[in-house]
Amino acid sequence: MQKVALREMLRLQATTSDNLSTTTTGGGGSAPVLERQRAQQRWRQEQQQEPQQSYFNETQLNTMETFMQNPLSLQSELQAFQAELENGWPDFTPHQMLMIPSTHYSNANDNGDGISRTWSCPPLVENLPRNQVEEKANGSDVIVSVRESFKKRRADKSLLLNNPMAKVAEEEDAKEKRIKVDRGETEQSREASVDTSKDTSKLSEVQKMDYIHVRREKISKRMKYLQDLVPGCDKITGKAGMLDEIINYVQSLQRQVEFLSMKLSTVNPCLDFNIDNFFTKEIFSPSNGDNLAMMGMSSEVVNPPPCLQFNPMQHLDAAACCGLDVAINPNSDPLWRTTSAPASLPQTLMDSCFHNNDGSSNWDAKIQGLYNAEVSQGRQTTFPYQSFPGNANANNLKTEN
Amino acid sequence: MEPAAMMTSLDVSSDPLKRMDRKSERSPTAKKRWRTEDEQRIYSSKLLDAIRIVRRRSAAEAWASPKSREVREAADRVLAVEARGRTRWSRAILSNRIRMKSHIRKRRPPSAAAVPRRKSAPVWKKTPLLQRKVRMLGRLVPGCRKLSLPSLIEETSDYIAALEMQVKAMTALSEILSAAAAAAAAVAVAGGSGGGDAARPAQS
Repeated sequence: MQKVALREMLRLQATTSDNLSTTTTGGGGSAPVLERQRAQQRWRQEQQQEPQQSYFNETQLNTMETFMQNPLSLQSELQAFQAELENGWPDFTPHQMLMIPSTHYSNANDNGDGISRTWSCPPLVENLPRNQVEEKANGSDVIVSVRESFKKRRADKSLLLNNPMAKVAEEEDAKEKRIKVDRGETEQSREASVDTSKDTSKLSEVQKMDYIHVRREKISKRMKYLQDLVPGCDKITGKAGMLDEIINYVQSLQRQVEFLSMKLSTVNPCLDFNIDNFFTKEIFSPSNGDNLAMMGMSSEVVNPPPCLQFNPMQHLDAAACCGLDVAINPNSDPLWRTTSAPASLPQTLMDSCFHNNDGSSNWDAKIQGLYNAEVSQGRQTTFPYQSFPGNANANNLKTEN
Repeated sequence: MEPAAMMTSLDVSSDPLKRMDRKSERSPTAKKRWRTEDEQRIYSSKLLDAIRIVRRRSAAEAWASPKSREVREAADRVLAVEARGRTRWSRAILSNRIRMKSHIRKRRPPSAAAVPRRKSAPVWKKTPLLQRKVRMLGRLVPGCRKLSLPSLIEETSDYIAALEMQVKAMTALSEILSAAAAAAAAVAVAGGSGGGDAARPAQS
């Protein structure tokens, strides 16, 4: 849109300058002035639609106005205009704007050709001085505006100039992932070289290369970390193989979780909460009595009411026992002996987890009582809890009692 | 699982912890949090509570044993809660559960149909091979479908660590519960006879 407006402006300039060159300033000034004003209004409207670029457009507008009002004093205007545009507009339009006066004054008669030449001539962009590019300190705004303008024109223009710029815009918009993933590093460097040969926004290219290097390092660092995490990934190099391994590993872990959840859902109709907490605490932190006490307290709330009477005392005792790391002598306990065969795991766990061996009978009796209570509680809980026939254990317990 | 193996597994977990400490200087500290014993303990206790709740709910409603899916979802939810919402996958898990409760079955068939359709599109070049793998990994990790490669790798590493901890905790828990169940059953068998013996001397 801007370019269309600019084009109009330039044609108007051409006509005005034509008129001026051929006729007197006063005679041919009225109609072109009106046209100029109309074009300016149109341009202003279009600028309002794109507020981002208003900064640049205002400067351009001012320069254009001064330029058009006084086409004869072009040299000074030109320099001022050039300076302002250098600061603001990385596009090829400033260059072409600059070209216009020279072509215009060199070819007074074929202004249209001159203008069309300037518009359709992509290599103009190459001639932009380096300092002009480097002065794009308003980097992000400029790049954004460039991107947007090119995005709008991508369908229209098939110029070489536009394609690499569009590609740049697209890549930057795709968060540079497609660069990395689709093209690989060698292609990327090739593209970068292609871009740098034809591109105006060299600064953005340099920035992009830095981003890419930084990102690549990040990615490789994280891949190395994953390599340590995933077993058997030492020999495999390359992203594809690593990704395959990672995918397989995640899938296997998820399958394991599903299998374990199935097992957990079916294995245990008889949830002896206290014992579970008891064991859990032992296994993971043998010397953490406080938590165990809390766990015991929390599990009490879950227990059915009839058991609450004698649970709290014995829970606290058990907690105290565990807090002191008092060893339980399973051998002295007849109950433990009877359950030794099937309950080898908990027994050995208790053995391994308890370090001290004070072995006071008082504690043993208390723990024995606790175990009795829990077992009875377990039996009691099973009845209301499993009135469904499908559970063999429940049936056995019922029949036993 | 032997207790010695359990202890060694715990010891092994402490070795990676030391490794993680060195690594955490470079990488984010979140990466070592799944390796600590405390985390595992907290997770297993919360998992136990969750399983209890699931059981109670299923027993109240259907009198059927809880489906493995519910247990798995509960386990994932507890895992996500333990992540404290710092990672994308944990937030996705928690939000999905809420979403699934409201739209239960309607969404799944369309999404299941859409995904294979996308794959069998005619434009299936060999060049985006890496891209395809990245997409696949993004589908595996919850909530990471449209994520760039570096952040996806970060999420994956955290997710793998969390899954490993989950597997460890669930194995331990299932072992304990099955052993406890067996113990309780045996004790009940013995207690039935022992209780009678104890009652008789008490009475006399």
